[in-house]
Amino acid sequence: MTTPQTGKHRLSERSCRSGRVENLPAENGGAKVCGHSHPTELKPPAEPLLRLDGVTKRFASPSGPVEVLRDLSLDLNPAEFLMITGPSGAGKSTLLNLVALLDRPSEGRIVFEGRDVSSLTEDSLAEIRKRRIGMVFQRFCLLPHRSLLDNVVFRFRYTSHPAAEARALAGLALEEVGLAAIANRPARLASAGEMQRAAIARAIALKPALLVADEPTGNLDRDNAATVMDCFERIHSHGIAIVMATHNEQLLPRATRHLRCREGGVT
Amino acid sequence: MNKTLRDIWDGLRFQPARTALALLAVAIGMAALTVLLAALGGLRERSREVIEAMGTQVFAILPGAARDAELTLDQGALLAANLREATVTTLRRFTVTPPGAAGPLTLVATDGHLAAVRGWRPVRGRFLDARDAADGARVAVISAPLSLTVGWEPGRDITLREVPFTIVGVVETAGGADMGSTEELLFSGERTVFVPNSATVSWAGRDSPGRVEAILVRAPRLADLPRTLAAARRLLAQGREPDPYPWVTPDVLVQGLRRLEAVIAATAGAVAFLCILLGGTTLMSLMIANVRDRIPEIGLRRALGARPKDIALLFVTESCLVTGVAALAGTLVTHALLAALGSRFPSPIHLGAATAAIPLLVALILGGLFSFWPARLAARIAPAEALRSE
Repeated sequence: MTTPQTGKHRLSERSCRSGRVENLPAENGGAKVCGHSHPTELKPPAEPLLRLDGVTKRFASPSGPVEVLRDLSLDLNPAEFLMITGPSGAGKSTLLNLVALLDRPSEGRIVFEGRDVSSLTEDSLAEIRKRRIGMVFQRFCLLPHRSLLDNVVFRFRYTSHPAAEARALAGLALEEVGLAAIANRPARLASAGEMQRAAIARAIALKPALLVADEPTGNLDRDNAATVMDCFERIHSHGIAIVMATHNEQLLPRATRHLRCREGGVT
Repeated sequence: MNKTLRDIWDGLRFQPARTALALLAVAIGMAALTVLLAALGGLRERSREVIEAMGTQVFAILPGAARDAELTLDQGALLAANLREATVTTLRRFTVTPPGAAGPLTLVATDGHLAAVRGWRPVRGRFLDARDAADGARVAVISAPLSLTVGWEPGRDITLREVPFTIVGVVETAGGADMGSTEELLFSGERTVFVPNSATVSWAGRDSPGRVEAILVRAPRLADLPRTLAAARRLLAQGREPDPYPWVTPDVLVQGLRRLEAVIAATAGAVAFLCILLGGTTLMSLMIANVRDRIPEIGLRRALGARPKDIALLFVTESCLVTGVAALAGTLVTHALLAALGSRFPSPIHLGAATAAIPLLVALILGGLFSFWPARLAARIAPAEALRSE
């Protein structure tokens, strides 16, 4: 699903020391460049949705610990669309896992919606993921034998929503991504683009504050990638913050901010 | 619960071979356990029947191995004369094949007290009485099953060893199952004819006139059994040490069955335990493979908000469901087979609620125990690592 973590390159000492990552493209001042109306064009609120404060992440390896992220600080505002690019092994997925609260930093702290989550228990992190964070994966992670609708309903697997309400919300989410007409099609019979849109519907069915997407167009052709990106833009327009990792720099104009991970630094 | 069941169903049906193997392994173990429980239950049931059939107040004296430890009609008379309030009877067994009986019958030569000692009641006509015994009357009483199978009724004449007898009664004999030589003697088979001792004197042979194969004594009350037993010992042993006669009391019979039960429990129990252990380890290895195959799914669940204990619970529940279904299937099939083939089993079997419930309970415990480690493995997989594994 995600990039293997072995052989990661370090992020730059410079960016780590600076304590901030910079926005690209600079000429837009971090604003959206796609021409659509977006909440990020408004004045950002004082309190960021997510704050990474001096975060370092190391992994154990036979040759000793490998530091993938070092002293990284980052603020993500509500309704921001942050795109992370960079070569494989640059730390994109590691950063996404930290942002999605699927992993813990080796050092530093992560503040989500004003709450320091670095030291929370697994159960508490799971609760935040359940309610406030949606995830989209490169390889969709659908249950192939279930229908698209049931895959979206699976979003409610660990919530207390009544079945009827869950199905109704899942139906709305499928409508949002344009899959209402084939809601009952088994996932294994759907096209790659449809599967990814179903995965997006699953991620947004509970109206998360943050949507984390790891190479969501990595397995799609250009047309399907464009359709999926349209979905992300629509979701973003509803005020959901998005953090997306991608290799495809052609998608950058769709984001409000760009973070580039590359050997030797983050810009 | 519906969500969990659906998850489990999805998890199982896409690994049909693995699921079938796990079901089979556990079902075999539970079948072995069911057979063991049925056999032990049968023995316990038999113990109860033995006590009921013989009567809790009744004991038997059998001939000893020594030449001077034979039993005779005179010794029966001695006990009857000296054991006040106790009822004493003697019996000797022959095999006869009368015309129209469709095979050999057990003929028991006795006196008028056998029915009283054993607590039998005639269902038609009467049992032998003192006058029959005194006169050597050519009268016979038949067991109810024999009457049913050959159609003989009181008033009919039958020929036993070329001597004509008239049937005077039909008696319901409890404890008719054959369980070995001692019990065959004490617990008449289903095809039995009772005639007075005195009518069979000429059949006994010259070297054993008056010899009997057992003396049965019924104490007046249960509380009197030890006293009556001690008095009878004194009368028959007459100071000989050790006592040359085997004394068969309800306790002795039950102890014998208990010993048999212990042997079966130890041997069959060991086999059943090994079967269960085999089923459990098979289940565990399959569960580990299951966890490894489903790591991406685990990652997805964790991303969707599942807690570690939710993941563990999923696998434990799945395992318990597999073992429960396997136990149900194994137990049902074994029950059906035992019910169909029960009469051909060397030992009695008893099928009841326990033989159905205990394997189910064991299966659920097995499912929980042997899935604990795989479930723990699954729960401890870091979500990021799980999502990376696809």
